Amino acid sequence: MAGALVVIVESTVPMPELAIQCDDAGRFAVGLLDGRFPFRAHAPDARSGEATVERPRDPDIRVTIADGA
Amino acid sequence: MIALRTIDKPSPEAPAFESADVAAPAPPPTPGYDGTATSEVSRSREHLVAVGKSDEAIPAFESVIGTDERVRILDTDLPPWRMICALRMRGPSGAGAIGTGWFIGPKTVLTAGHCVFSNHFFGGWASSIEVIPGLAGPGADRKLRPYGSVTSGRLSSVDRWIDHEDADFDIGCIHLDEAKGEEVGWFALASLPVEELTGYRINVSGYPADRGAGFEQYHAANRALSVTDRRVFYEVDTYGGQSGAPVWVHPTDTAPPLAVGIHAYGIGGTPANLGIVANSAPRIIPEVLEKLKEWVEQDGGWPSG
Repeated sequence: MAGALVVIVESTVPMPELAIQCDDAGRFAVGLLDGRFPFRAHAPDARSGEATVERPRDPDIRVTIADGA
Repeated sequence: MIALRTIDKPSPEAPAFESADVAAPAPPPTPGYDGTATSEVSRSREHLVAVGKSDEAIPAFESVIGTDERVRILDTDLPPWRMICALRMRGPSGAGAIGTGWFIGPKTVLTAGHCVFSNHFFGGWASSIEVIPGLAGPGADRKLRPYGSVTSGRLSSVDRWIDHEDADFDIGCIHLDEAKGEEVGWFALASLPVEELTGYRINVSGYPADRGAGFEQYHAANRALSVTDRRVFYEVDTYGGQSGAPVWVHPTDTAPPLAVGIHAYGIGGTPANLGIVANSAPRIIPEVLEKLKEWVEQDGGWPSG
């Protein structure tokens, strides 16, 4: 979702408490070391969605912000 | 003693500034200032800010630890809240991110190192950062942006962060052309010894992504749970977007805010061997305080008197 803010929560390696902003196509990019990284995305209207990436197993992830979430 | 070197973002206009190595024992605190804007006393300051020390934790915290204790600050046009800024970072690829910063001098804003330089998020230096003091909500209304905003691409950090992304030195600086700090004020900085900082009630306030989408300021307070040589760990609720927020104490009810660290990590950043669940900040140790003074001096310094 365009403008959504994405954060990494409780990862297995230290990650700063920065929030990444999705571009107009709803995409974001972040470089990760090996580990488990739960992502949480927050839409401007306060809805949210979660997905977890495990590096190096997963090449990328899609975080879905569902209606009513 | 650690010798920290400044590393500035390379600029085509000016050669990279490199300061001399510093080995200072215990520099005195830097001056704080409330700014020239309205001197009205903040009710949030009176009712929310934690003062002094405590042996017991204020009930539960989580990065939000347990119950979310964060409280929205509404009077962000008053001190100390107006010294705290929402940051809008932009990387070379156009990638965006949000964080928090705070004034330490008329033209100098302190933040986390990863807000100005991050291989993970920007592939290096941020291109530019918009600094919005006391942001109170989305929109361009003067009430929501009581002090406007300024944008800068003049950034600094220290070699320990640039070369190794060492979490103990996750410290960055934004140099402004405009003396916005004269209006909104700035925090005093202090390097408190481990034994003095331990047990202090810690205040953290910044712009999280989960509440207010980075447009609203939230404050929480709780005790310092553990203090190591270079980090302070605390049971204070924070969230992504609050990176770079001030970590401050008030020795007494009437004492001005005294910044002692730069918030940077949630619970994932706490070493397992400490056996605690806590968020954390690099401490302002003597070597860091000397570096921060250099950065303020580089921007013209504090006014005399």
